[in-house]
Amino acid sequence: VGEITKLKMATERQSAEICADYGPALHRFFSRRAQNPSDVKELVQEVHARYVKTVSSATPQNPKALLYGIASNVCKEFLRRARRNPVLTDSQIASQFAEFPPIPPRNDPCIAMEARSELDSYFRLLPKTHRAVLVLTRSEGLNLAETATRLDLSVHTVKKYLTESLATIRNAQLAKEQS
Amino acid sequence: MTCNAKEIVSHELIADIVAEAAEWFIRLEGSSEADKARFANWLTRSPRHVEEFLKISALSHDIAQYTLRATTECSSPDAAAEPASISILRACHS
Repeated sequence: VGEITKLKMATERQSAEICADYGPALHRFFSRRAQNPSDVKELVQEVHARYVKTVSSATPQNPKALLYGIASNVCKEFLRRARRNPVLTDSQIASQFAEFPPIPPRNDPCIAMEARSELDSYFRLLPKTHRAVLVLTRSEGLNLAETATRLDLSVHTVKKYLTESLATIRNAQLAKEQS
Repeated sequence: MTCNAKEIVSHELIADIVAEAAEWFIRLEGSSEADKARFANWLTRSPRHVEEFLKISALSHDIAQYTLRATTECSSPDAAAEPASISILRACHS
């Protein structure tokens, strides 16, 4: 048991030395691939942890090759994760919003009865033409020009009525929330 | 400034943000790259802008569902319970 402990301690010491020797090189290696300094630090630590775990079960013939092999795998995994979860810039997020306005998920595919009755009361706040514009664009899927033609309005007026309708209903919701 | 005055200012500010969010939501339908850049600028100016844009987006979705459902229930003989949108829709088609 004493021999095993001694061997284990020697292995751990050797691992620590290898990691200390190649730490700066690993740091440079990851700095070229990851932009965030905290990511670099984590990646270096991950390599050290995997190296220690590997050498605790088998003594490597070429510690440097093993260390760089692990670093290469860690790097590949990091880049794969980064591609899967890209960090978006503000303008990219805005573009996504513009093209696909997000819709909060709902448990029930249909609007709850209470929400429907609430919407009905808000709907009644709107002038008739505003309501018609909402129904034609939101429910019937007509575009602004088609809606304008159908209601004999200008596209500018359709846009204005839509904007006013959404703002009126949202303000009514806010007033209810605050009361 | 009294508390009431503060509340009034705050309500006015929020109403402005709501109006802007609604305007952006509609303007983005067929928007240009320049519009998208201006929208990005507006969106990142305040978390409240993001919140209100999301609320308007959800509201538009809810209205679509509400009006669609109301249209499919149009044949209901219960005239007293007729949603407000139906009479308008009927008027549009007449």
